[in-house]
Amino acid sequence: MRATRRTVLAGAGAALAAPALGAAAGGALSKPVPATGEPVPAVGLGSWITFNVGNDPLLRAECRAVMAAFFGEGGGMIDSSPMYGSSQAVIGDALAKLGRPAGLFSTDKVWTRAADARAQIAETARRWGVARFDLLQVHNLIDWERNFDILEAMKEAGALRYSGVTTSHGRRHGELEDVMRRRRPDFVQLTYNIVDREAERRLLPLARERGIAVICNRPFRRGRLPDRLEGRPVPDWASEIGVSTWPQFLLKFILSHPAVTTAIPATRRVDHLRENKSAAFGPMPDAALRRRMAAHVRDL
Amino acid sequence: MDGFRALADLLPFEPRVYWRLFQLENEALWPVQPLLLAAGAALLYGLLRGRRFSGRWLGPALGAAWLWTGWQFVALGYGAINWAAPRFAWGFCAEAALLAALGLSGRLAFSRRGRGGGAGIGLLAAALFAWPLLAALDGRSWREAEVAAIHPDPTAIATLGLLALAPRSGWTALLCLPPALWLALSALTLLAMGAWQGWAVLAALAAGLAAQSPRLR
Repeated sequence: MRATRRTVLAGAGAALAAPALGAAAGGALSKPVPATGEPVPAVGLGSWITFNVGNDPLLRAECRAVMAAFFGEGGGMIDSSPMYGSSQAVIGDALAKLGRPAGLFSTDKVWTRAADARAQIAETARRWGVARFDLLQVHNLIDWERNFDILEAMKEAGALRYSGVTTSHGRRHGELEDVMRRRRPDFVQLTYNIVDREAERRLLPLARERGIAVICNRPFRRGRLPDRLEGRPVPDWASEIGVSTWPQFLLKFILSHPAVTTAIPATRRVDHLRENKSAAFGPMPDAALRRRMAAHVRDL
Repeated sequence: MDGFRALADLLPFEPRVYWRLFQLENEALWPVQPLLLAAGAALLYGLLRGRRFSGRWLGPALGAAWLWTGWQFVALGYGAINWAAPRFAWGFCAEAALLAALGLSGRLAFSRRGRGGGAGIGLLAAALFAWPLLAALDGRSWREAEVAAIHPDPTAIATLGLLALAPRSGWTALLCLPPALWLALSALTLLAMGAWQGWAVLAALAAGLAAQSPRLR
């Protein structure tokens, strides 16, 4: 079996038909937020780079189509940041044009010093067109103690549902561990994928122990993993877990970690979005199969 | 190339989004582009014929190009996808003000002379006529063509070329700073995007700086 991100959606076609039915029957994987037990769809949507399209009407329409497909597949977490250029405005524009569909778990970040945090949050909410975010996170630990206090205060006041802290590219894991031990955010966001597995050593076990939800960013290493695997055959044994394409393979590896709550692959293509969403269906790999998957990619 | 890959991780946009900025700008301004090219051709022809151009009008005209490019393309267009871009636009404004002030004060004049003159003419010609071809050479639409006085790279290259044709002074050296810095930044951005045009920009920057050298005058 040869499967590529760009060319092989034939196999995914059948998988996509099933998810549509599965979603209606509640078949897509959702995972509970430990703090409340609220289920969140396991495949969310990132917006770093892909949704930063400025005021380009054509590209904004592409983003809107991706979001429409996302909500058509059950919705879930959409994540952005003030650092992501025009992404927030693009999301807000699409939400308004799509009629504010149900199923949104709105997620953004604070990316400034605490003195300016409330003003930035207000501007972020204006761009999204939402009155209250489901989750706000301290972006890359910037002024994290004071910013986290602000988020906690917003939660107390009912202006926010969940608080969190983020890092990416595998950086500052020591500091993130410190945050998780000292303050116990509802969510942490970190980089975790089939080749960037540093988080497995301490952070993911700690998240389970402390009851903290985990969002995984860079699941495809900004598209480089599928690009690297393109043209190589997906192993036959992956069909055991309903996998026929590399993106499904990569996402199932992440989603099957017991500490992981959701992954947020970013895309501006509807076919990729549907392919990503399809990874939330069917059986997930157990620990032994996960080891085999990681070894297989490492050896390629 | 690992360094460029690391830089690519810092870019907050995709190449397609960047290139479409040029198309949107061109569509909004059409048919200004052929008029600008005709004006540039007339300037180049005059210089080649040995004519001396006063900075009293060419300085403010070049300044207007920097102001327009900095505000419209860099701050508003590029700024929509790169939060740092509006800060770069201040450099464009400074260059615009300095070009206009020095031109009006009579400290700038442009004419072809010596070896520096040849390099300056070459840079000006490249900015005017080679840069609009790069999009097509890259297999992209003509609508994404880069035009001097609308888009920043050819504007900066044309400016370095013209400054090589001006009497050398501390002021002209200062005027070289914003275009040189922009071209260095643009080259890094393009190379991080994986675009070969980055090497062309680097070559133009090197030629532009060499053209200012006193040994070439």
